[in-house]
Amino acid sequence: MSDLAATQRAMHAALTGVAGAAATLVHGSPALPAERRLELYRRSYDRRLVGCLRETYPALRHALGDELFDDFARDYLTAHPPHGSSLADLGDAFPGHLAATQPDGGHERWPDFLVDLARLERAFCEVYDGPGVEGLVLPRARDLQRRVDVGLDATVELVPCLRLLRAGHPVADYLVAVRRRERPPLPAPAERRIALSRRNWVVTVTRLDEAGHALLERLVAGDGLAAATAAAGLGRPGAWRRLGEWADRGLLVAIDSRTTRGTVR
Amino acid sequence: MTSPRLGLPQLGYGVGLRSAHYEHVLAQRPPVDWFEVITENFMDSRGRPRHVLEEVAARYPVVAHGVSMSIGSTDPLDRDYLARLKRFVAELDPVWVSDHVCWTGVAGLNTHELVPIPFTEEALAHVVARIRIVQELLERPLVLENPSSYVTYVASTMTEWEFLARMAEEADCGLLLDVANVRVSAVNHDFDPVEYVRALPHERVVQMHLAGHTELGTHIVDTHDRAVADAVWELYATAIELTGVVSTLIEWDDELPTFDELHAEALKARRYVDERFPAPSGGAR
Repeated sequence: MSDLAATQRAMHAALTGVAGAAATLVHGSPALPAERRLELYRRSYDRRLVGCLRETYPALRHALGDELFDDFARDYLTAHPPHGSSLADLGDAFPGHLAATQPDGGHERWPDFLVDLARLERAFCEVYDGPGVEGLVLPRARDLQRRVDVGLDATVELVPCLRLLRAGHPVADYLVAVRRRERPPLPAPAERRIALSRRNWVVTVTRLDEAGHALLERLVAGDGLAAATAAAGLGRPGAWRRLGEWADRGLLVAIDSRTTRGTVR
Repeated sequence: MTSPRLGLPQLGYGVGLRSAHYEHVLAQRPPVDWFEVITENFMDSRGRPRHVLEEVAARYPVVAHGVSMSIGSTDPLDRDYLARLKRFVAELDPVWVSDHVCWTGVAGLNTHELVPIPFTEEALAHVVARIRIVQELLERPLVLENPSSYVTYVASTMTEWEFLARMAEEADCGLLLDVANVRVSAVNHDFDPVEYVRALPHERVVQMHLAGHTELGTHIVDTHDRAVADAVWELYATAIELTGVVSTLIEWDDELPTFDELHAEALKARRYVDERFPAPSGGAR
């Protein structure tokens, strides 16, 4: 290993842990010894990364409080030190880490709430900064109503920014309240099915019923409308009504019908 | 002989584009000369940040300022990062691309800190070779900034300014002179900031940064959270007398003021230049 490489490895260890050998590699001064100089970098590393997670997960931070959130964040960063060139993906694995390390709460549901909330906030970031459909003209419910000839043989193209979530608490309401700078209390458990998407650069939340969530899940997985409708336990009217609602919410790009060779856009 | 600023234009007095100012910039179209954007905040975005940047770039000159190239790291160059950077540069067409003379990670890990490199012959050869590779890949000159620092290495065999001068000449790249960083490092390492600025190859200075810092008695921290200090303005005056007029940008990241306050700080830089380089006909430089 070259001198430069050895120096960088020692410095990296100092930034992420304790000064160790790096303290012998750098100059100190009476006013500011080497260990204190290295500590400036270590603190900056900690502050930058924990601060990034705070920005990515504002609702989780509110739920936990600053001190506990920072403890969780540091535990995550120790297990998942950053590799990527962008801080935008720093917290990608945070929900999974929370799920893997959550305590057995017995009958308590709050650990599940925290994991659900983290998953929602991760999805929020993906939707906010990922590919969207701004600039495209999307079909509306009335466009579907005009095309009664489009049958269940159709395939449905969904917007690329669609994310589906299941949660045991009303986490979307909680997130919206925090982002409005309100101070919501921890909510009582309540099953929720949610679709996140984006219109005109703004993230939207659509609440789904169980059948609607199942239908969208199958469509996201690539099923045709007939297979997805059957898997969701719906008939044509139920599927069609939901597609109309989702069209008006901007969740659909197009519906292609193989038999009529028609496309609703 | 090298063309002044590597032939790159003098953009005037700009500010960093920050998300808190998006609405103001889009709605008010303030008369700022140019914007600098943090490359990594936009290069992978397909959402609103990228949309805002494209709107801004349609109206103002934009420079892409990176923080993750890690040009001094002993890890192999991150080819995936460079490919994404090249795509971003092709799409945005910034006036130039800049980053820092530092390393940010090693052994596959990224600290996201701008860590200084030892000023040795080994490090110089390493950095010069990597700059050449990046410039060839991007098909444009790289402009590299002196970071602020809190450590110097026992192994160093030359000063920071000697290292920068040789690096710029040997790699044929540009320099982004962060005047505030010179002041911060000068206090932290007890050197003469004027000697530093005098020793640089002035024709290679493409841009300058100005920023606020925090004085803590035993040392200074580069905090970017307040107005530029008087000592930095004085050093800026010395620097522009040596380099001539170059594009100047105010960096302000924390405790962000209103856009108008930020812009006023950029216009203060213009006044410093105007006092030293009066325009014959009052026109823009």
